[in-house]
Amino acid sequence: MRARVIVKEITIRKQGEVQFFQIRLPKNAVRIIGVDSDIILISALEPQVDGGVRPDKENGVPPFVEVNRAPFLRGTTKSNPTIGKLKLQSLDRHNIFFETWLSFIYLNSSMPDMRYGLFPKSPYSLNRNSYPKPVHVPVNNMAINGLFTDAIGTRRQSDMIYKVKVFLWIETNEPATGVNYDFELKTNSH
Amino acid sequence: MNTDLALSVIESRMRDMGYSPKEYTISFKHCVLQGNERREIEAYNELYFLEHDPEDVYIQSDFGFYDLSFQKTNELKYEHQGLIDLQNISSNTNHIRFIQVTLKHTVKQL
Repeated sequence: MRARVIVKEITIRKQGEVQFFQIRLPKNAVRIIGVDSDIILISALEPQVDGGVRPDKENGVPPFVEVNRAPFLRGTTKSNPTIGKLKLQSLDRHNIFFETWLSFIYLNSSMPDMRYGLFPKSPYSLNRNSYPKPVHVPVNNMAINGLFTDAIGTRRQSDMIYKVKVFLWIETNEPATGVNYDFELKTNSH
Repeated sequence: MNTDLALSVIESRMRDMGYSPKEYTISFKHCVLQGNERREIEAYNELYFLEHDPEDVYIQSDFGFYDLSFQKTNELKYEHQGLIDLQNISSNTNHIRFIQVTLKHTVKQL
């Protein structure tokens, strides 16, 4: 058995777009073991206006806006990173097997933990890398159906252009000369 | 979509999921929606297949989307599962015909 990854990229251009896609699996695919995703935002996104204004505004300098750093994002904020909803369906299964809201940033991914127990914990301050979400879906059919529904364009009432990448981790029946990933081992232990 | 195509898709779809024709029932469901009516169908363990191409209706389910007037999608789905949201987007009465596939709890040996 060996783990391999299949990458599917789709582009969203319109407000409220609903896009169906298919991910083809190789003949030797046995089961799906993990799903990961990535977003590349192409449209410009202005910063949050009500996050605060720098004090040098009073010195004749144009007002700079600061990004909202509130630990919990409201659904109405412009800096809400939720892009849309991804659903995956296997033809061997009833209904869907995977569903998630996608965001264009990982809230905890930018900086390492530098608070040393001195500062309150903030969702921006801890490092967390992207990680495939483990699933266990045996496959007989050679295609996976996907559905992506835009949310950021609907919320902002404008056409946002961005690319969504879906990484599908699969197990194949090739000889096990590949790398065993720790999330794969976790899945096997259940 | 027509009836023959829907029936053959149902057979293939159910076979892929491991069900023989003895293990499910097919029934016909004709929904009549009044002007601008919205209705929800709970089909969590069922499959609903559109049997025709209705106009002026919006249908959304867990993995399905159907609206002939919606320009921002690349496909329309005739297979619906989960919570199905039916909306008549016309002010006139509208008709939606489904083929409903329901699983049997037990298969009796005849």
